[in-house]
Amino acid sequence: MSEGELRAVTFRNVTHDYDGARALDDVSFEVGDGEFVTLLGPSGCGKTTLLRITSGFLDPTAGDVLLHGKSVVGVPPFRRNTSMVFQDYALFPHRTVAQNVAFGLRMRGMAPDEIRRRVDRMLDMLGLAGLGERRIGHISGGQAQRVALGRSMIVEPAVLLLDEPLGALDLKLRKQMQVELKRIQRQVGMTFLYVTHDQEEALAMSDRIAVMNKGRLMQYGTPHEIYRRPSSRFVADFIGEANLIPCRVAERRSDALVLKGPGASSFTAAPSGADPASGADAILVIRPENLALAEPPVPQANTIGAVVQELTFLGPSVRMTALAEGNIVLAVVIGPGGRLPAIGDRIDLKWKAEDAIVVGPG
Amino acid sequence: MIGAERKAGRSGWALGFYTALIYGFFYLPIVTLILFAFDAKEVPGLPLKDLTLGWFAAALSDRQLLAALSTSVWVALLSASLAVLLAMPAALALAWVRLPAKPAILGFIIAPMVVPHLVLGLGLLLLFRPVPGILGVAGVVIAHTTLNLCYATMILYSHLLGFQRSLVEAARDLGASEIRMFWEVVLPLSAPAILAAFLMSFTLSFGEFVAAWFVAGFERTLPIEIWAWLRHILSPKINAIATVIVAVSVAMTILAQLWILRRRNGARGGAA
Ligand SMILES: Nc1ncnc2c1ncn2[C@@H]1O[C@H](COP(=O)(O)OP(=O)(O)OP(=O)(O)O)[C@@H](O)[C@H]1O
Ligand SMILES: [Mg+2]
Repeated sequence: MSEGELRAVTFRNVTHDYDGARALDDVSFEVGDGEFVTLLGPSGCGKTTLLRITSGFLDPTAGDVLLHGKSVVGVPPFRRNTSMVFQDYALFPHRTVAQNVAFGLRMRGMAPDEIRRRVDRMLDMLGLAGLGERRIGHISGGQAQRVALGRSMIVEPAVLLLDEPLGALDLKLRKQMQVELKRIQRQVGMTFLYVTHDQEEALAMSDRIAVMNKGRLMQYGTPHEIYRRPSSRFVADFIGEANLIPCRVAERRSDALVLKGPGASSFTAAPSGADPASGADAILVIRPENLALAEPPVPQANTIGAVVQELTFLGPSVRMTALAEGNIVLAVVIGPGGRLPAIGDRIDLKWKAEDAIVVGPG
Repeated sequence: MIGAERKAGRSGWALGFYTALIYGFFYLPIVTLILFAFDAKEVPGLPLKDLTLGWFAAALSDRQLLAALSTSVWVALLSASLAVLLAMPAALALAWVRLPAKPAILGFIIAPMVVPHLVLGLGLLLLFRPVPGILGVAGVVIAHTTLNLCYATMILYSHLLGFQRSLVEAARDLGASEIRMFWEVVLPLSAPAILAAFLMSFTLSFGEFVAAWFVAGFERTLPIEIWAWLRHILSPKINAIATVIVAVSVAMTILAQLWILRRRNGARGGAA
């Protein structure tokens, strides 16, 4: 078995143009078997396009898509071992819940007894037992969501494609379904390729996240990597909250990167191997929870002076915004028990070198 | 307060009058027609004194009238079925396939709606000259299919334009071939529109006189038969047969509406 066959999906330099307008630009990454991978990015970045290319409703303008090591470009959707959960669920309104779930098996010519057995099992697993005979118009939004999921999962696709499947649900149900979806995915070990533009949802559910912007893959990694080690200003800004401090690279040492910040400040950061060249502009990224008040004596390195602007009580923590040198607004999360300054106070903020990330200015 | 109420009352009255006028305009001819079917006089006319059901018995035992009625029903059934069968693929292509000259194609399909039936009938008559055998039922069916086709295509086209495309994609995605997808999803969900196109075509064909007259040869559809009668006599028999037709159409329309309503209630909502 070659390396490629272990991958549920492989995207190789996938590019797609709609009438000359580029929607996907040279996207390459791999989805492992049984992985929950999320495509995350702002509206119009090409998530749906990539999903439709995977399902066979679109062919890429250039590049290749492989399912378990075999190229599927040109293979029509009904011959592909993928299945899609549509944003509007696309449940057949003239069929019952059970008939909807059975549809794919019936198309495969399975014996009616076997279909009934599998449908019952699927409805059981999704908590829909007893709803089989209901008309699609007579079930709730959350139930419809699960019927759509069951209808796609029952055909045991190599990869299940989900295009913002929770988008139509209200916040509470959405949170509930996030947990449910993740549980089901883990239970059956199916490969999920999931689309969302909600970064919290992506961080909570995914094994790996593909962050996209303007048709390009910006970064591919675990939620932890994406959050802790964003590779670009876009990713740092898009995932979670980030303080961005413009700097210039003063020196590239083997053990640290030395940066000149606004005013006379100077910072050090751990080298990442892909750091900007000496003398180049860069952005220092620090998460709000990694900033802390520095008590005197204030250390020289990795601190910045600021004036407290606002304090917001969040329950267990307090969110502070402060205006630093160079007119930079910094967000700080002060944990329980931390000292609270007053609005207008001059303070110093510090961070650990390993919590600072350096990215290019672009 | 009282003034406002009085004003509302007066405008309500005006609205009522206006509505009555409109409905009167539509339905007075039909009501008149039905009323005089019960007139005992040989020549229908006011005053309506003695009432009878005799004309119904006379009409329904008139072989010639019944033959014309049956010809018309057959022509309508055939031309409506043909029109729907031909319109469905045309509408599918127009609504769902990227076609280069779509506006032009649509224009050609709608054009027969604005061409006078006289022109169509005359044109077909000239066209059929080399094959006079077509004149008769076949000729009328062809003429009426042509007329029905544009209405049926437009009804199905507008239905398919609003069709939830993800249903089609879901069926394909779950392993249905094009043909399975059509049978399992498109056809059942298009049933109301197909029925509407069929009923509309049927009605149009059933009452059409001008084009039919050109191509009917020695065959008589009901409108032709009635027209032939009217040339010498105005008999309440015609009112009677027309009343039967009105009753049957109203019953059919109500049944169709009920059926569509029931289906809609059964399949209401979903995720949307
Ligand atoms: N059928 C189409 N024809 C032309 N352009 C299209 C078509 N579909 C999408 N696009 C364009 O391609 C780009 C990517 O679209 P896509 O639907 O993949 O975005 P998305 O990431 O799914 O966005 P969203 O989060 O809003 O769903 C957009 O700029 C969009 O305008
Ligand atoms: Mg999308």
